Amino acid sequence: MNVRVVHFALMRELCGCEAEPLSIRTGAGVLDAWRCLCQLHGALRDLPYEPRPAVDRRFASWEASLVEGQELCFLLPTSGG
Amino acid sequence: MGPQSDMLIDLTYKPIDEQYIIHQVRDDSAGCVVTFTGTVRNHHEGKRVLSLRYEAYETMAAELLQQMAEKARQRWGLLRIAIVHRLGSVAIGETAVVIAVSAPHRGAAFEACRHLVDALKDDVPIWKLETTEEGSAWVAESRVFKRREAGKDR
Repeated sequence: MNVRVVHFALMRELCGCEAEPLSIRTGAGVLDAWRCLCQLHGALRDLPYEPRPAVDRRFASWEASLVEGQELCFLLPTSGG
Repeated sequence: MGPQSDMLIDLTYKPIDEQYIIHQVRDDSAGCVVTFTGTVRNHHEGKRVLSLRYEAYETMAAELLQQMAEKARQRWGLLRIAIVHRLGSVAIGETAVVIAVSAPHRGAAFEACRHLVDALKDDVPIWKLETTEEGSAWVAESRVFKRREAGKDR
């Protein structure tokens, strides 16, 4: 199945794009998607912080399952305000 | 914020008009308006800041701010709430964020405003790219992100 991953700030720079489709096995979860992304972008393995996953614009757990067409984002430490 | 609405949530690339926002949260039932104005300072960790740029996951940030404001309204009995955050390039000294709340009594308003500032900084997907004389870097300020453990694949 396919999900769409959107990237912002440092994640966007490390992945070299604002968004990308990710093809993962049916029934895969957030952690599977992250592992897949790390294979595509080696620089993600050296991050000093654990990203916070979000699915369809809501924070999600690493164990959450994904379904076709969802929007996924891995957030790095924020600095608003 | 229209006449029927008690919330103003906005992410804007234009300069923030603080007086307009304060006016929007005024209410005849309120005993006070508490406002937090975050401005861009010219130094960070001993380095001179030359410029600053904010970027957001705009759809998620707007939804999260709306949820935070609604929770705060219920918890502290707030009357009106405004949260406006600047995006894009922001000059030194300019306003980066305004949070304004009105409530019948000041205790609730101070607590709620403080809570909203902290919650915004910790959870809302907004990032700051800071340029100093040493170069540019994305600033990590949220207190809720964990340091990565060795050997862990996330």
